[in-house]
Amino acid sequence: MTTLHDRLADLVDDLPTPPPGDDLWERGRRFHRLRRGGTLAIVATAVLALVAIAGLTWQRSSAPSPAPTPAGSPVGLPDRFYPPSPWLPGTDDAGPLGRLIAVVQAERGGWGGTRQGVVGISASTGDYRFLDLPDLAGGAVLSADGRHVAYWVTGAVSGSAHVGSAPVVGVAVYDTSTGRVQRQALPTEHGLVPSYLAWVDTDHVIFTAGQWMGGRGDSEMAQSMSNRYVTRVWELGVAIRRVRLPGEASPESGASNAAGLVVVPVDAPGPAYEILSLTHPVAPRQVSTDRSFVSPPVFDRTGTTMAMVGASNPGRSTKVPNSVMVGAIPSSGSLDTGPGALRRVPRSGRTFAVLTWLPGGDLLVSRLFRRSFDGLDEQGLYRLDPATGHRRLVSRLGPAFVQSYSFALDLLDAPTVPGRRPPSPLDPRLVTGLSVTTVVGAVAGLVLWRRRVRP
Amino acid sequence: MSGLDPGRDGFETFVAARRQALVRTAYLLTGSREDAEDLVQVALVKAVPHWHRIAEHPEAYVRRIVARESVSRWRRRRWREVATGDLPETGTAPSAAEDREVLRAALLGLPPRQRAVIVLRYYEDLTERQTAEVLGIAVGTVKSQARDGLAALRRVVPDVGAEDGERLTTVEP
Repeated sequence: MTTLHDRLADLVDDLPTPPPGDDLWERGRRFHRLRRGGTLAIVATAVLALVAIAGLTWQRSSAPSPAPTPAGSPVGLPDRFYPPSPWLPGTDDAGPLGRLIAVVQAERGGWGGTRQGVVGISASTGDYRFLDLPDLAGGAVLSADGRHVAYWVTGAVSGSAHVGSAPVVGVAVYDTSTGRVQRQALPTEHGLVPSYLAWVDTDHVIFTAGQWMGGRGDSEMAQSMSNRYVTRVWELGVAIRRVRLPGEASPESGASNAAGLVVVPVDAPGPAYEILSLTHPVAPRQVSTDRSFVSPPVFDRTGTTMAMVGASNPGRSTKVPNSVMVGAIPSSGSLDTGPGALRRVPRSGRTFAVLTWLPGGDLLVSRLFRRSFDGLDEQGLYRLDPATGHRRLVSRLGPAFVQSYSFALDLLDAPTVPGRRPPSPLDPRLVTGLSVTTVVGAVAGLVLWRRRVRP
Repeated sequence: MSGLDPGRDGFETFVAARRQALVRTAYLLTGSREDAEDLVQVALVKAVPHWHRIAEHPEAYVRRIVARESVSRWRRRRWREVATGDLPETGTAPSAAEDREVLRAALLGLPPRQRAVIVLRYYEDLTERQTAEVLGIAVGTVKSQARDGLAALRRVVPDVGAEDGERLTTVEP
């Protein structure tokens, strides 16, 4: 009986003996060196690539050394503001910034995409950082001393929420030094309609909000309408009270000022306004003007003089930018007549907004700094003498609009310091993608190399 | 062979002693003397970097490279060989030489993994577990491949029986 083993062995019995020679040992050593060399080259290339990615990430995330603060002052006004990167760190990770010179609306990057955020700029170091404001719904306003940020907050409603973004339910105030947040939520069935938010002074926030008339599931008409606009003043840490304004309108302006003044439009023939104080027992004054306010009027510390951006003559164009107008506030009557009538500040054209009155009587305004052919004109902050029109550049805002900034108005008289360009971190999704691609590519390269290398 | 010098001397001793046997196994796997010698050279060269580690029992390592490399080569050059699974049948009683050629053709007609299983199980006399380790496949796969390979061979070699399922024998007339 012949087994399969025997029959297979029979097939190979007459195979000739292979010739000797072929220095197999040396060939094996060369094969090993070649294979190892290629492996090391691939691994080294991958390591170098990862180190380069890490180095670039670290470099882009590092801020330049702090600019020295001016002698005799803990704060400074940067001579230049920069567009913030969407990937700047936040205060939850990097800690509060302390006193701020300004906050600016900016897009904030995330793994799922971008969202609206608020960047704070330190008044002492010039650092830029996203403010992690809990339940942020929008509208960040910096107090005049740079120590608090007021903003609208989202939350739960008693009925069906208005369709769209998360419902607004109140306001909150963020402490820039401690990160602590005080919150005031109002009763609302479908969500609030934010209308106005400002600091009256460093202890009082004024805000106006209406109520949506319908939410999800209600008629389209109800969902598109709002009513019951109410203005409230919140004294921090104390109480919130309703303020009855003429005609239940919301203020036209109420930039932080020592007099606590706000300007409210009133129902009268022609443009008419009531100027009243929310913090001082001053009799309200009804005034009128044939001019329209291009930018909110700003009152000096005595509450007797106002400045705004508007047309130099009644009836003229109210385009922006325009000229600066200053005038005394009468006890009543027209702003356009009398010894203190609104007058144009010489050579003040191309002004976008008046920010504040500075100690000494100058104005701080935002004005066109440089035109750009791509439509991103650059604005600058200027000190403006309202008597002579003499102006001096104190800071460049870059291509951003002044309306996207909220300044600590009491700090704008600080000495000018060199502005720190913030870091520009790489998109972490890009870093992760590059790193993973490098590792996967190295592994694939190794596999291919070790397969292709033949003895 | 086992317990060899972990250096060059041990390697060359192993080559001198076992190269011919490895070429025979490789011949059964490839069907070509030139391919068989080349296959064994490649396996021995690949074993050199690991010789210090395998010098105690080099046979299994080298045999593993030979078997796996034969399957890899077939996959890279599959257009040269076509394993149909349907093997040529003969009508008349063959002579001894014809019988060898029929078996050789039948073996080459098997898919490369079946062929490797048959050679390792019934020429090298490895167990099912040892065959699985050499080829890097499951024991169950070895069993099924052996069964299918034997069935295919039996179709070509009709006088082959399988009384115990372990040893395939031919019944002499």
